[in-house]
Amino acid sequence: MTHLQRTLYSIIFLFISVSVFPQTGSFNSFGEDETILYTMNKQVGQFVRRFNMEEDSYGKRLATDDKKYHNNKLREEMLPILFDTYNPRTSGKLKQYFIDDVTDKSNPVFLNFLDKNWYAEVSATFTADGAEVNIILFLTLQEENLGSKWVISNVYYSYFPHLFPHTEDSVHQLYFLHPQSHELDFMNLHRALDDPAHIELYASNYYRPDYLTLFFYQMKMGQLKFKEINSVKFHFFQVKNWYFELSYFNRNDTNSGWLISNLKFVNDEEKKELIKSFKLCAIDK
Amino acid sequence: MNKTAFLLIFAIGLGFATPVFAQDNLSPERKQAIDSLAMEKVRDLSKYISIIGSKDTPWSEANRVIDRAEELFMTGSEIGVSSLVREEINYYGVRDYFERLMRLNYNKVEISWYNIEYVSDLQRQPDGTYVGVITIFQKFKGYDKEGRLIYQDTTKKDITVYVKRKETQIGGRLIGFWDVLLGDIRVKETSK
Repeated sequence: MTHLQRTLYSIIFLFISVSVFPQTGSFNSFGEDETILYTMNKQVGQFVRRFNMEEDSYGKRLATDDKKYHNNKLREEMLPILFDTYNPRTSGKLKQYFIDDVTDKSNPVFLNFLDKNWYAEVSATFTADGAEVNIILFLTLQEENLGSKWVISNVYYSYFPHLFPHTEDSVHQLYFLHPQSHELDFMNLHRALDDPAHIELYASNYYRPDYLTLFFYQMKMGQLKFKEINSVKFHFFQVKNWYFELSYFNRNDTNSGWLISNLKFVNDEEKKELIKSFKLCAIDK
Repeated sequence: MNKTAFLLIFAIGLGFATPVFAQDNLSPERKQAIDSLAMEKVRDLSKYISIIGSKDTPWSEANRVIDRAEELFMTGSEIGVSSLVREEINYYGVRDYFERLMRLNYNKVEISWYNIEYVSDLQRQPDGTYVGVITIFQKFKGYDKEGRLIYQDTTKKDITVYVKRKETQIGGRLIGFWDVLLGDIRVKETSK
């Protein structure tokens, strides 16, 4: 996207802000950097409110009976500005199809804080045996008692899949306990237990390792130590047939703050697979 | 908690006082009143930061203000600071953060605030306490002995706000009020 296009978007934002939401006070009185701070999606919640058209240009909540509240026409104008306009993946026709879908008159889509199927991804540095390693934690919101809380739903640590490499069926056929093992007091079980490299092959074909438990174990044993958080982003799956990612852009530009950094058209099956990696250990009620 | 803040909280509490104290859902009007209350605390904090950071503030006065500022926070709150050159977050206790601000090695310090305050929705945590985040922006300038500007930054401060319904007994009657306390703060330098 060219500088001219970005400037145009800023002007559009200001136009939406000033002309559509007339307020006391004026953007004219802002310095350039103040305009940037106003247009920036300062919180994830602000992104959501703007996505839904639930606040005015000053970040003040619109009353639900306000004509502008959830106004689809205004959303059509606002939504393009909620994308990272520097990124070709979030520009172009796909973006417009997405906007058309979420602002569909007969079935508009709005985001809600307590929606299922939006996840946080926290990339963090840990130390393992003195060496720094990158681990990704996935979190999801869970309702509990009077409110809700973020819970760790899964983890990705490149070391864990190495412990459980993908094995062909032919390999599975080499490692098993025959069906009469019980008659021998499982005397052959030692073959499994003396060979930890293949031990998981003695479990069900449907067995899938729980990396989150491994992670907790390593933390409890002091084998992994937390150092610092590097970045945070969010994954949204609430919109039918769509997935989008939200990232924070710290730049001196009106296209800054929490913006859509990736957008994909995904069918339900693909979506299920993607969600699996985020929520493997989150328990649905 | 300073007297004005307490009176304000109490006054709003009285305004809302109802015979039944369970407040599961907040009406938009009540939310707005709580937002104002939370903003009041954040403005107090901004004012205290400016006083503590100012080189014109005598040491004893700055310490007194630090005491007041500390009272705005929940015990154990932390301030996590990162900058453009150092993305790693440094964590400070509230008192430690203010004391470092007081000791900054500049001859003159200017702290100003943008007229932008963003207040999130209040969400309830499992124990029923409401949690929100207020975002404000601060401009900092540090000058040397010759009056030259040697450092400046703009920081985004995301401030946790806890809002809890509490009760107090006055003249044998239980009166409910909203208690507002600040929590962890994330301080992030914005792009130059």
